[in-house]
Amino acid sequence: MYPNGMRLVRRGRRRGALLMELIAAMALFGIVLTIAVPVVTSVAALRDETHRRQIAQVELGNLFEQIAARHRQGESVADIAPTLQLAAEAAAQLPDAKLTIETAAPTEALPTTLVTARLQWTIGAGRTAAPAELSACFGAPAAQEDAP
Amino acid sequence: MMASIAHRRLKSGAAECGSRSRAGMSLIEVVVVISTLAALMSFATVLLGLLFRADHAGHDALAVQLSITRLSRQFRDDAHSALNVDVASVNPGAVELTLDDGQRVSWIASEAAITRTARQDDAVVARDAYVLSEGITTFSITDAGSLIRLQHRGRNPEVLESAPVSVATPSDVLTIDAAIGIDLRPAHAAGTDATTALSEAP
Repeated sequence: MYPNGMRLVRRGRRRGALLMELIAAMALFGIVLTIAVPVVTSVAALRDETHRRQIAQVELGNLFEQIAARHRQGESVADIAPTLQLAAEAAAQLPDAKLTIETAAPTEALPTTLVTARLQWTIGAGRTAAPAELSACFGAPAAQEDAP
Repeated sequence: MMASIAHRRLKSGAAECGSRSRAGMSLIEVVVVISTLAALMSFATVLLGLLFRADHAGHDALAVQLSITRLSRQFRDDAHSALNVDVASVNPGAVELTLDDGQRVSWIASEAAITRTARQDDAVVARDAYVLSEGITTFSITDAGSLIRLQHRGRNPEVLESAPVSVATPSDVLTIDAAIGIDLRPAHAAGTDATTALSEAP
């Protein structure tokens, strides 16, 4: 007997306690697993998406390099733009890739041709990724400028 | 009387014996505990391995992405200010550019990296390395000599060649095109367009 009247109660049956703790640990581990696996999967998906976006940006840069090279040889931007196509390698890495190229004719405020290229692709289950976009201004073809 | 005392002792002895057997664990319980522990350990090992692999892959991917960004910018800068481009016919993994400021820049590809070396009067003035995924990098001149193309093919396509057609695996191909001799830097600085700057260049 304790002075305050409480009795010391011995814990009688310890049988199965370890098993119960293990079951609880397994349950907790299962919860951690169900949280961790989707997180890891989503991180991998995000990494793939970042890679695709970089491929799209590099490809848009390639298209503008082609415009600059052909523009230098005397072709007009308005003629070049409709002929541009995605490279097969880029198209293979961007599902359902859709390339849109718009040209804005020169104005008094902006005496150059503004080219805007937009590339869009899907990211599974019919969802479309935010488009990658690149714009640049091109003047008159070099051949015309060089002409007397 | 004696028989009743003996019977009581026997009963109490049996009770003691029973309580003693309950204090320990049976073999079945030990086996269950050990197998549960083994399962937990194996799950934990697999999960940790998965996490470590994901972390490693993430680091690698980030390094390659940063490298590609730097590579595309530097490669295009060099090509834009190049006066002459010489792709080695014997080694498509190497190219040398002569820039407008007199520097000679060589790009040499190895299996997992591309090295850029800039020389001025045979003295090395800059050396950079760009890490890519393992694969083959080639340089070529396209579009009637107006573009230089860097193409890096990762290992995956080579593996795919032996795979059945039905196996769809994303290809790992990086292509960087750059217009030769179109220096965009003065255009950016002056706020004018590229072609005007080019036509004004000597």
